[in-house]
Amino acid sequence: MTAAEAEGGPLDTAGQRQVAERLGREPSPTERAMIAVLWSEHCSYRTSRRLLRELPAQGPRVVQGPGENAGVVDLGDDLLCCFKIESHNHPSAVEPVQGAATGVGGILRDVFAMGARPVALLDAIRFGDPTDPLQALRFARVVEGIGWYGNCVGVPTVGGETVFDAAYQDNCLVNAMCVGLVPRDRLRHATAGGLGNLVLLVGADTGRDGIGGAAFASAAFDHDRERRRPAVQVGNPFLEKCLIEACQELAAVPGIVALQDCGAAGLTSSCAEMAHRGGVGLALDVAHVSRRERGMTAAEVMLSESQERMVLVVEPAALAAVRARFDRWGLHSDVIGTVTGSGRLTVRDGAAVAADLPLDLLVAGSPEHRPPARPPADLAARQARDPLDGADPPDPRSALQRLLGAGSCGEARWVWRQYDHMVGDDTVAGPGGDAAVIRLRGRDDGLALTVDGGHRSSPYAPRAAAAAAVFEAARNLAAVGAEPLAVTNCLNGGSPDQPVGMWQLEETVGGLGDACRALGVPIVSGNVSLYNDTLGRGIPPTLVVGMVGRLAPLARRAGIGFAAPGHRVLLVGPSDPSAEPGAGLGGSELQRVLGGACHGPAPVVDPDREGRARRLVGGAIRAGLLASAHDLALGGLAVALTDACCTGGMGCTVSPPPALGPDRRARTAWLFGEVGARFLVSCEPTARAALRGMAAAAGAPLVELGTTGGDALTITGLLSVPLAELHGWWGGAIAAAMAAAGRPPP
Amino acid sequence: MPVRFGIVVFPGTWSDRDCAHAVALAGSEAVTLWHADRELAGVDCVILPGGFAYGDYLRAGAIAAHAPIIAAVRSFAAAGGPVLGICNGFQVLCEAGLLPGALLRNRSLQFRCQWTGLRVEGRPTPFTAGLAPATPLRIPISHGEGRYHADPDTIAGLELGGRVVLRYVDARGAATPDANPNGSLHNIAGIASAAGNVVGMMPHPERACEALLGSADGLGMFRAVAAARLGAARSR
Amino acid sequence: MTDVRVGRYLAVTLGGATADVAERVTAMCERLLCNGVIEEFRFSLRDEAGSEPAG
Repeated sequence: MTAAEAEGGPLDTAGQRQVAERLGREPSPTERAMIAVLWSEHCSYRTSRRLLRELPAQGPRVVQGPGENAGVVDLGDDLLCCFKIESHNHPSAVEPVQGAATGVGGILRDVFAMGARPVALLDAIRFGDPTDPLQALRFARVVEGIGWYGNCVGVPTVGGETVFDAAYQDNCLVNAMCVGLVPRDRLRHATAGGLGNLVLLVGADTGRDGIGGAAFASAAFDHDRERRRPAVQVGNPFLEKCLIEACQELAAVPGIVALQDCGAAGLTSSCAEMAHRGGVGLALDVAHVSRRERGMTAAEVMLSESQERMVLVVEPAALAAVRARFDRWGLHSDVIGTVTGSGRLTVRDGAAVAADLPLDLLVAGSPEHRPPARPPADLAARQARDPLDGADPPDPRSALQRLLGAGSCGEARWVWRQYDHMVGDDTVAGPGGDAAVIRLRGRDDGLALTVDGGHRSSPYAPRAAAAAAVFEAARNLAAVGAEPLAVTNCLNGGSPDQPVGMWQLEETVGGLGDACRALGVPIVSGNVSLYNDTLGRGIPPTLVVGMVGRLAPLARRAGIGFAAPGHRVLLVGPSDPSAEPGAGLGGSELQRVLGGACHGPAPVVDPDREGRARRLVGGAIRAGLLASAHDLALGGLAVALTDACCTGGMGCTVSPPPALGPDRRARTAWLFGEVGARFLVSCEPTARAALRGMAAAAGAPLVELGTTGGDALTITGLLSVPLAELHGWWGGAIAAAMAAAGRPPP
Repeated sequence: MPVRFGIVVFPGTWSDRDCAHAVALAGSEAVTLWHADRELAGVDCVILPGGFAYGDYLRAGAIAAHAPIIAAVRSFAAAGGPVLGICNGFQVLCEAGLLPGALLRNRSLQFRCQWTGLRVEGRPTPFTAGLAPATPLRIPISHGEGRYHADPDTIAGLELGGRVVLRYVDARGAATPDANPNGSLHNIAGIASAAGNVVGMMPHPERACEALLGSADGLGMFRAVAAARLGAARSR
Repeated sequence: MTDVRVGRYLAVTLGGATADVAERVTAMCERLLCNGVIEEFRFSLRDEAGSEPAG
């Protein structure tokens, strides 16, 4: 029994009856296989689509919203930015190098299918405890896979996020985002049309690899995940690089109707979706598909997820010119079918008809999956519980050391030094900051890019946790001086067939929509990855937000590191976390490293105070007032101070506000509480007055903390750590874990 | 007339556009040379850029060394024409026998993308003549196979002949083990041919031509070619 | 275990006369398949039936 035939799967008894009624006959085995895979969650969003419809997708800059290979926004002057994020969680769990690598390959194709040149990659990865040797090995192999593919194709990996949490021990998350640029007149679509036009398959030969990958990505793991390895595709980044260049050259060739990535569910999905979008039909003959293996059936050819393939619809008169471009790059192409007016996808294997299905059934016919949703029974108790369970707060110095030693805070250089983050000559700010910055040639503005996962309270506060991810991404952009343009998102979660899982999905999408509406930023593309479960245990709902912003002018920007000694250090936003519910410690990283608990009041997400803080920081950067700016997130103020010191290569001396008093709980909250709408900034002493004026005008709280300089991070009365020691904590956690697991030393 | 740089493009090359950008910043003209061509289109200088030519599946640079365009590059080099191999281009030059030695996997066994410090030394070459910076050049590397290796006699010959033209150094200019990002023998980052006109280097000078991107220290290597030609024209 | 060396195994099928086959394979290895600076090579010859050719 396959995942699709399982009880509640898309082709369960009810689904099969629906298909038979519509066709007036039983479907052939090939047809069954095609329907099962296209009706999977991965392809049809059968569980999530009614929720996704509610998300804001409109805006004055939106050129293309969800529904194409990638979303597109207008950057002005006829330049468009095209981007999307996608998960490759299941393949990466089973075969880390190839799973992660082909995730990068797939998202690149989504972007260059739009006619764009890919200019940046970002990745968000989540693993379990890195001191567990098996986790460390898998993590290192995923990093290797991401690096291998991106490095070979020559697209810079400019940013990302690395999180370690035991909640991802059995189901790692690997989400990859690609950003491309395309002049308006070169934008392409994946919409088939024009009766008699030809369907061209180009790139790799078709093999048995990855058959059923989309269905596999829509199923939970059982004991035997090694057995799943044949469902993982194998990447060839060299071929991809040639495809990128050839597709760029196609811009000069008239008569190309559609360009489409051949990704999940292979030819079945790419052809069916192109035809359905265009309201036409396609007649394919799989006998014309070049094979890598002998004896493949029509179903195997239609479902193969062999990588590095693209499908085009071209006018017959354009065929020779199109093929000449591919030939020049050593790429093989086959004419495998024609556009018809039938509204059906007809698949022949030579003389034999293997499938003949109406496209509205195949693409849009999947029965909606509406499993019951119910919040966890212990919801109220969990939210009401004291984050530290009444325990004595830890010693600040050792708490900071433990936070930094856990790998999620601090610097992830061990990861990104393996990624080429500079190729393309446009990376103004690469990994290690709040957001990456790339310049736009011939213009005075640039793009700011970030990916952010939701707050750790997501299992019991999914709405707030999701909204927090959106606002954190917006703060990341503001901290470099940029304004958000649009969002792409990856909804990672557990099985929606568990009522709690379904509730988490509904709430997460709700929080995403609420936040984006409040921010006035459209969601132009996205991906859903459910069934991240092993043996019945799912991951926390994890929304990963990819946000693209515009930095104008590029010359006015900030980094996270302190810039010079003698600068003033200030905090923008709420200055006393102990005034927040749970003192900002519910679901915090501190709570996790102290014992792995996850409870307490949900984080407050207040769009209004977020907006005021963001406007102050963005405005101050554009006014040239700030020497550094850094968003406060995981680990709170103490970690942000560490980042600013270690990145800037200098210490600082700061003091808690006198009003804080000697209460240890209030002090712990002040150091480590995770409260939104906050930034750590620094400025020359002479800029203070102007900054205060801007803060008053923006209505954003601003307090002075101290001064940069010296060779220690000193927080008066709480802790003092020499810079060299602090740097070891901050930059050494991942490397130490990998070295312990036998991975290469620094 | 501006100097014309020919930039060789193999399938899998990815620094070609960056090199063309650097050449333009240096005030010269860039033309593309396709791997399957057999002529150099009358260029004054050839660059073999970074990337993974033909996927580098056999050995970095091995297939590219047999590409039709390399025969033309070989003749051009033999006639004294300036040739610069960057990263994969250095690997290609070694595989083609235009430079001695080979590039092995980094000591860390990992890909490395990071800034390095480089000391310019040895005999002048078309790309390093006139470069005598007081502080090390700040130029990034980006490779998985950049550990320079050759037999001891070859290394000694390079050193004695002043053919080690770039060396990984720390901020004070010392060639320490910590400053060596890949385990190259003698901290070698770049070498020249016996005649001095063919230079191979693992770091990417084309990524260090604008302060906006972190350094403009690489621009001098592209400018040196034009300066040398101008000097030659004057002395004529 | 005291040491591991990773190498490459290539299976090459040759057509044509068998007289100069060793020279042809040597040339292939020297010119392309191996880099003498860092690699060495060995080869063995078999006929299509899988046995060592006579002589």
